Amino acid sequence: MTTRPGMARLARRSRRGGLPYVLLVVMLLVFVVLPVVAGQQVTSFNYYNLFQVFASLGLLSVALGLTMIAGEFDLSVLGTYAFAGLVAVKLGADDPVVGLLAALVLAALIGALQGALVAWFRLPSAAVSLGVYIALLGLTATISDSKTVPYNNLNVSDVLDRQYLEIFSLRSIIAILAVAAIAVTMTYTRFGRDVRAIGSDRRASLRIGVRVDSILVVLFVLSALLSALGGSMLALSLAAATPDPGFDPLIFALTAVLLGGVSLRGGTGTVLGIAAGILTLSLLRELLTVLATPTYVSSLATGGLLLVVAFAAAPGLNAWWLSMRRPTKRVAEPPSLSRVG
Amino acid sequence: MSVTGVRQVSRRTHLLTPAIALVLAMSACGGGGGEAGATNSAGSVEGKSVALISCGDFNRWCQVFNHGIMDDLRSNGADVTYLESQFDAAVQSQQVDQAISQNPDLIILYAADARALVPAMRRAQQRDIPIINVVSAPAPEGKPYITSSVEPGAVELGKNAGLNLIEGLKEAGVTEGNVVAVTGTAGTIEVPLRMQGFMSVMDQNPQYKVVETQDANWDPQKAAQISQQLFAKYRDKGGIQGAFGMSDDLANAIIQTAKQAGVTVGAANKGLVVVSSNCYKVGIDNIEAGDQYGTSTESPGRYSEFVQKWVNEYLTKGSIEKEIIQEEVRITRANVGEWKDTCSVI
Amino acid sequence: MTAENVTAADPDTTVRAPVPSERRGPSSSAPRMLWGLVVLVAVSALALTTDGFVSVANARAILSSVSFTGILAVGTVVIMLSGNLFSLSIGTSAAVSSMLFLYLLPDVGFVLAVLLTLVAGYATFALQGAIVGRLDGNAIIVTIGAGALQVGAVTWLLPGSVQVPDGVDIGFLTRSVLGLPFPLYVFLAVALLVQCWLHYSATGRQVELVGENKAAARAAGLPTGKLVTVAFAVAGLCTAITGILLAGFNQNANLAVSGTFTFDAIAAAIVGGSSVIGGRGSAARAVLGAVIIATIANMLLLRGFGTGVRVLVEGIVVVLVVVAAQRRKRSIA
Repeated sequence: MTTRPGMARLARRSRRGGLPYVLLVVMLLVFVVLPVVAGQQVTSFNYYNLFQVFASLGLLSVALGLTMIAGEFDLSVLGTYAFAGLVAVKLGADDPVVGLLAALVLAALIGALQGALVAWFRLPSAAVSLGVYIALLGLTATISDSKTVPYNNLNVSDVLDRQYLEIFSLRSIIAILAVAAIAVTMTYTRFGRDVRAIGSDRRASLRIGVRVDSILVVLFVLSALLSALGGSMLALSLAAATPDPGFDPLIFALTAVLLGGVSLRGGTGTVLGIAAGILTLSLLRELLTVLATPTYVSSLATGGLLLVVAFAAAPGLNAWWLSMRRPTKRVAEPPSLSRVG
Repeated sequence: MSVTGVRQVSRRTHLLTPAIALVLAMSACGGGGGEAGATNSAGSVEGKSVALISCGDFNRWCQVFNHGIMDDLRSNGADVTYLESQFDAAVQSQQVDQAISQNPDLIILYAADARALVPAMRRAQQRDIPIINVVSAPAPEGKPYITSSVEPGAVELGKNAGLNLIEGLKEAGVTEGNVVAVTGTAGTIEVPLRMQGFMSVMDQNPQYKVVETQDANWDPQKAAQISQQLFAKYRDKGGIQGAFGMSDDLANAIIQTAKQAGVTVGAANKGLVVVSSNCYKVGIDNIEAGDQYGTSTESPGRYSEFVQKWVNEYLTKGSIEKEIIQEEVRITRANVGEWKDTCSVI
Repeated sequence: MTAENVTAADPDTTVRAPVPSERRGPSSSAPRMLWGLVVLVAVSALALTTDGFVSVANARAILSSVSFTGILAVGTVVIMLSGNLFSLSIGTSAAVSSMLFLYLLPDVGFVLAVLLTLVAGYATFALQGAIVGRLDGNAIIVTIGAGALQVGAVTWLLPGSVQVPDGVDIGFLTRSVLGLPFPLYVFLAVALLVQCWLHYSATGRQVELVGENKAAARAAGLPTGKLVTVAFAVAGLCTAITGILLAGFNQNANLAVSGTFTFDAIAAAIVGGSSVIGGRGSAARAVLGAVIIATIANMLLLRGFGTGVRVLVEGIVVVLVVVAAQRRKRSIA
């Protein structure tokens, strides 16, 4: 260990080019052109819808993306999403703000607990969060008796979803502000740099004095808060909390995050990139809705996109490509470890 | 699909573009429908625009039901937009908004979650777009916002199961005994209605006691696990003489696990009497084999025709009754031949 | 502060992926035994006070209910052992296998339908394994993507629900043999075969080595890409077998039969004590995990708790096992 990789170097690795934005522009062009060709019309309402998705699945995506930047994979955001919706509807019966706050507080506790488990016990987050996800689904099912819980004040839904400037709603504005705040934090504060450093190289981060444990806990709390915000606003908007949202929201979130340039190995990607990824995927979904395509097309599209991203992000791809062009064998180290064989 | 296309390019930047192009090409092929435009005159189905918002083709029941409606409407000259989803209330809510923005003459809605669609239904009503609710009964809060609800006879389906069960138990010579019910998703509006019908019959026959009602979420594997454990639980408590699996595949799960646990099955064998209420091919086979005593006529093809009839009625006359419920018929060995074709679709 | 604790090992292993396994040395067993004892006493107390729990019939019911999840859990453990977490679409693939099997059945006959389904399962997973193993693609992304593609393709190409063709009897796939259902024997046979494969074959042992420390395995000249591909392919075989048995049980196949298999299988694998990042696990542990979860579910059902509580407890058990397993590892190190 002769060289000490500096903070700047660790953070620099995290920047990945403008690919997410290029994709967004391309998708936007397609979205404008293709429906016209197919004889359908795109209205301002479609753009409104786009931001409505941003306010629910978009927040979930940023929640997932945050921990991924630090090299963790948190399945439980999906559980928090459902749980928060239920809490908001149950405890917000008199005042939706109370419901929202209660949902956020409980979600923060869940996030802190999980972050502590992951950080202090050095647990693989995929395994812990799977358990937490299952437990949260069980909890929502128990609280709701597996029934959708209705929210009787439909005016809340109206207020949240009323159109502003044609394409926004209170809900989507809150979501955009929340994501913007996170983006600023991640870009300009030491916290953000530390998170990326942890994701790039946890060992090196420890060595240069990054407080990995506390940062992970805070990160999991932030992630839970975002997911809870999305879930609870969605429940109030639908005027109902569903005990089990299914697995599709997480597939959306993962795809959006990956399109946004984040990798599961951690260290890469920005919140702004994730936002671009969310909009790209929402545009695709909106396009499929406008064209009224069968759902299997949407499945194939999502699956195809995920595999393409997996390919594009695979570190082995470059090596493989090089080895195809230069047919010399990759140099293998001589077997030197005694425990092999 | 995109796997082969990727090999030809090396730069990451170029990797995603062909895939997206491919996806879009596919979506363009799938895109149907024409321009919407409300022609609010009654009189004919011809030229009317209808949005069908329902569960998707990935589910066979939905596939048969939805395509029946679309084929019928299209053959009558209506213009149908088909918006599918995988039982996702959030997506459906957006689809309703999407449909509203196209200003159709009618929205036919199978709500994945009747309660979560209430605000969307209200928005449709505010724009004067009529909604015909199908499959599941509407949530009480949603009733004011729909034009009509055309439903299967959920209560009668449960009642039929109860009547079949009593008849079967008597045929098996059981004078008193334990009955278990393994149901579809208990949180829906529809399942409690069926249980209400079932219990109304069972309550009049207290010699047969419904000892357990378990939610299997329409999942045959859950039904299997539950029934395996219930057979064990009641082995020393007089056993289980009757079982209600809410759909034929749940009933089949009960039959299979009963056989595995060494329980005799079939009224004719003086064994376990199993009844159901949705008819599938597996149920018809089991009835013919004597393993299942009876079922009822809830089937996607038959119900789809019922909905088609009333949708056409609405589009031509401009109004139908607020609540229209299909009549359901008991199916047992005696009349199974009559219903075989109807029930063998799935 | 923690800088001193970091050993100067190879740079490719992260802090989260320590490699010690039981094979590496004697463990300090006293606290572990205490823990085990406490759990054992608690579980026994619960079991004895649960009405109808201690009976042959109930034991049989528990065993009968684990077969499908169990086989998938064995497949999941193999993927975990190769160091690649788990497949998040294994339930979907089982449903797809089930549909494919019934779809092929009328045209090619039983034996060929079984073989072709196995080949398809093998190939589908091997392909995913190749992307993960050879190109270092991430297992989570690849398996979710593959799942979505399978759902899309099946909805597009096959009828939504496939029936057992008239005149064909595949009922024996689900019948009882000597008082226990046929799928249970298949489950135990699969577990035994995979256990032997992992322990006695060179390939199986090498798969474990890749999972323990990929960099070291690569440095030692092991074909890591191929080994990961093989590990996924074995999981694919398990999935196809489950699909075929499911077809026999349901007498029909559709995508909905995937139910909650994916998470149940992963939970069973984890609760058995296998590590999701490789280095520790076996088919026997998968059997154990599946039985533990089924036993808890059974106890809760007998005590009259609803589905929600059963799921809640399953989740908590998963978290506890993950934490306990890690504490143990730390105490060894």
